[in-house]
Amino acid sequence: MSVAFEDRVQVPADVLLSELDGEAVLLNLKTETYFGLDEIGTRMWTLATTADSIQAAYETLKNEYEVDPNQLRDDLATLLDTLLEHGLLEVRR
Amino acid sequence: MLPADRHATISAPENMAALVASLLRGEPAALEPLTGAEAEESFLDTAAEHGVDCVLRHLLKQRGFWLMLSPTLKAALDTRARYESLLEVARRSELKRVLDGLYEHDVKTLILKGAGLAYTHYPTPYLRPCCDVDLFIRRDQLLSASARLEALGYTRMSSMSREAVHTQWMFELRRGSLCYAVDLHWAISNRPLFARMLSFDELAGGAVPVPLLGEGAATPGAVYALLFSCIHRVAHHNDSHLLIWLFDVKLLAESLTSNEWELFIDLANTKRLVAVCRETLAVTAALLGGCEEGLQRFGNLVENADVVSEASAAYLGGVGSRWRSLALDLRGAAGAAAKLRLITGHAFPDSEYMRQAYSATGPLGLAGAYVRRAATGAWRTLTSPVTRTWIAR
Repeated sequence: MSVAFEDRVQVPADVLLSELDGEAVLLNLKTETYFGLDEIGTRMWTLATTADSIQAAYETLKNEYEVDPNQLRDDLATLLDTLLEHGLLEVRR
Repeated sequence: MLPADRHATISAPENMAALVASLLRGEPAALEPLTGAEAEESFLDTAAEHGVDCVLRHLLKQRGFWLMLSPTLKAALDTRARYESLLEVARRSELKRVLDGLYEHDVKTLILKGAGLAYTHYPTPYLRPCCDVDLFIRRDQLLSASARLEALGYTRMSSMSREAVHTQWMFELRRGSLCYAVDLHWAISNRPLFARMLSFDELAGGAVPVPLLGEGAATPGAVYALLFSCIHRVAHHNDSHLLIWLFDVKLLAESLTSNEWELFIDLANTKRLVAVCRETLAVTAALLGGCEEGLQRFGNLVENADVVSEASAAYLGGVGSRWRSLALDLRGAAGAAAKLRLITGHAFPDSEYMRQAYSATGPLGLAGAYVRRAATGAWRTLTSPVTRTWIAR
């Protein structure tokens, strides 16, 4: 599954999030998949799940971090694809 | 001493528990002998068994000792913390659902022990792990509370709910690999001597709200929570030195104001719990530090003849054999009817318990289960050390 940047993503009902020392841990209660995010991953996850679209989240991140935009785009897409694959995010239609 | 000997010495469980306690007290020198994979594993196991691994990690970071730990220890404690923090989120969400469900049906509850203290006395709730949630209710609300829990998807564990000898019903809900356990208590202890020492209304009078767990969520105030913590480890757990229970005591003791200490001492006196409370504070002070004010206030009370003769003091040091445990309970049961109920409750449990515990079906199966129980009980009685000593005379 590959995420489209015009999509919006949300946290599925069965996913729990816990924040510890600036990092986040996600748990899917259904599949019992457990996933840790570092500080930047947590920020990506937070923005992606609250912004109007993934594109909007990407724009915010581009302003926050001094990073090559293409690299950022790839990293964000990879992270979101992984989370979608493990049921830790879902696309909101 | 050779390093290998030293390692063998600190690997002994009691020594490792003492080492964990030293670290909780804030003595980083305790880390020095902690070298080698076996010692580290034993240390982690002990901290987890005592329920203090997360709070230990928190304190080591807070006190600047974190960097003294090996990468292995740091990674293992980090993993435990992540796991417990997630479990706490799951537990909180489920507990809130349960408390909301009971509150909406006018069942009044008080969250006892760790599940309440996690939200009132610990810096963050995940630092206080809990295997189950203990809810105190009025006896006359037991059936409505039970029906509500079953409506929420919980199953009553009958084999653990023998009413003649237990003052609690246990419930479970399994969701994937997560198991949520709720114990409904209508008395604070199964032991007759302690059971009526604190009533629901008495605890509810000084209760404090727990907003994170919903509108109706409340837990006993610090004075009563401390009194209950002192009773619990002695009455239920053989004077256990489990570090997380003692850490509860330390945090509760540190939170008391001068007036609250006065009330605590007064309650301990009135309820004839001076020896039990004083001992709990002394053990906590010895292992984890703190509690000085409480110990000072108890002062010479423990030398008082009245205190020495407290019935509750007999439970200090553990109850020993099942026979002594039964004898103490019989002594604690008020009146002949209560004593008889206790004996028959042990000898002839109710049919629901027998069916579940002995996998008995039908009237014949049930009768067979009672015969088996009677035969096993008779054999145990005949071969018990007490009986053998009596026969030898």
